[in-house]
Amino acid sequence: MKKNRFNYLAPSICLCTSLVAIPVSAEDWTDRVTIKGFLSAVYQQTNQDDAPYEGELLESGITSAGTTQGTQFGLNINAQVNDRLTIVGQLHSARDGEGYVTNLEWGFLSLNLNENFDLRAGRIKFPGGLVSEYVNVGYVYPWIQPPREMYSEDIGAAQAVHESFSGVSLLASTTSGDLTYSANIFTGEIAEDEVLRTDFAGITLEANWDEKVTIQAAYNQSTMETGGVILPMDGQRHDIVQLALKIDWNNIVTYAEWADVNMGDFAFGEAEAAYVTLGYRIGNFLPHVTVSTLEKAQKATGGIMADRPMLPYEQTTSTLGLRWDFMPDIALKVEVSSIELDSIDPNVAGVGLFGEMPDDDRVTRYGLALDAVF
Amino acid sequence: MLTKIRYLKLLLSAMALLFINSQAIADVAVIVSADSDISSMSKAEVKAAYLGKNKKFFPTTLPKGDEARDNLMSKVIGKSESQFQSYWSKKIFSGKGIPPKVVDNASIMKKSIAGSSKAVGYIDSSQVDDSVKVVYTIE
Repeated sequence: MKKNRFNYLAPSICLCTSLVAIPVSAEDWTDRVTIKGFLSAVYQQTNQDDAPYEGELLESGITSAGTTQGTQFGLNINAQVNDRLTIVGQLHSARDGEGYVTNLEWGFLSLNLNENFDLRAGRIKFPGGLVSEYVNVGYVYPWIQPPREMYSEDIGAAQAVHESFSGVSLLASTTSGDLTYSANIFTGEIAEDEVLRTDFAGITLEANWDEKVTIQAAYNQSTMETGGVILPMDGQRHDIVQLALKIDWNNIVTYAEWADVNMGDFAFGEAEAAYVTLGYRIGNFLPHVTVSTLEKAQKATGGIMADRPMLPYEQTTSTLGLRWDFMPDIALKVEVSSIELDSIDPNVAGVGLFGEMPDDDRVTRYGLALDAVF
Repeated sequence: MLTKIRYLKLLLSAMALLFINSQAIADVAVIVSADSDISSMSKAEVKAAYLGKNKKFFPTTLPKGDEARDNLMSKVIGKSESQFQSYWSKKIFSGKGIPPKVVDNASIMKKSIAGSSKAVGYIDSSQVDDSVKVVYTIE
């Protein structure tokens, strides 16, 4: 029944099929097109009036006024063109400032070469980091949002993760019993708000034991181009090394990640981020604690981006959270965090992920979320 | 005295009923089309098929709450429903796979499996007929 409602998608997908010249009757599409979705309804608040967390004052960010920032909705469309070729895409809508922005988060075609190899081309989600590929899908991880020190795309963050890239990716995997080894080799370019990253290339390696233990190592590099807008960035190399461990075994849930970011000679270009999450499943409840940290260094004289102090800083967040899977496919989450900056003197240290220097050296954040998949 | 005997009888029959019920949990047959070249599958192969790790198979599943599904989940896949959902959500929302097709009941399952050379499914052993072939039995 659900599929029939989306029959209107068939013509556009048929258009794609005509490109690969495979005749398929319209009726077949109800069997060949799968639509899945996710939703996160999020409310967050801090105890700061004038220092928005992860945003600019008056536009976005979390303050004592409370915000639904983080609320998002996504639809995945998977069209199996034939036994080997699949076209997949994700439409994603998220709160951005006062409104919502909808875009094609990613969309690519995937060609199954044989049992071990898949070749993908198009707009592909960045694959470095444990949760990058499904970072918007709250249902799949314990937190309301993955640790911000590592995963925020705020300009003050580690810049250890990216949006999607345009290019190609080769997925290789082999399974032996409950062990799966996989490699993702990718190349292309990333267009961000002010920076174009060209010559983007990298590799993500993963070993996975029955989803109980996952070990990941990733590396990628690119060249930053701003068209002269942020001159010191132009032509500088941007590279990221990431290591990760995830355990979900006998009620024990652990996530641990570390990333090192280097931006060549750019003045505000070095960052190191890490976090550890420990949780214990008790029936449908998952209480968890997380400590995450971000250190940003200044290599030379700073002050390049006019609206944000570009001074070095350290930010550490301790979070206590509870996830409750109260119904199938839907989870309720509550969190309390304490965010600490190493200094509240704006002449000495940067503002971390805040838009302005907070009044207190310890900021409290509260969060409440409902995450569903359907 | 009489009430005590009656009570005992009742208790015994209740226990017998429980015993019969536990014996009545039937085997689950993992099935492919009768025309399929495959004659048997190992437990690991069935698990790999339902986790999308073996692309030779298109897995089909019964809805949540079905007894045969519960058996498959606990005895072959070794995951809770929420772990299974989480696993597939990661694959779906990163564009790396299509989850098992869900069918409403065993007769639709049989029809669906019989008509596809790559499909793999499961039903209560008592419902197997010659349209499908049993490749693994969950006891």
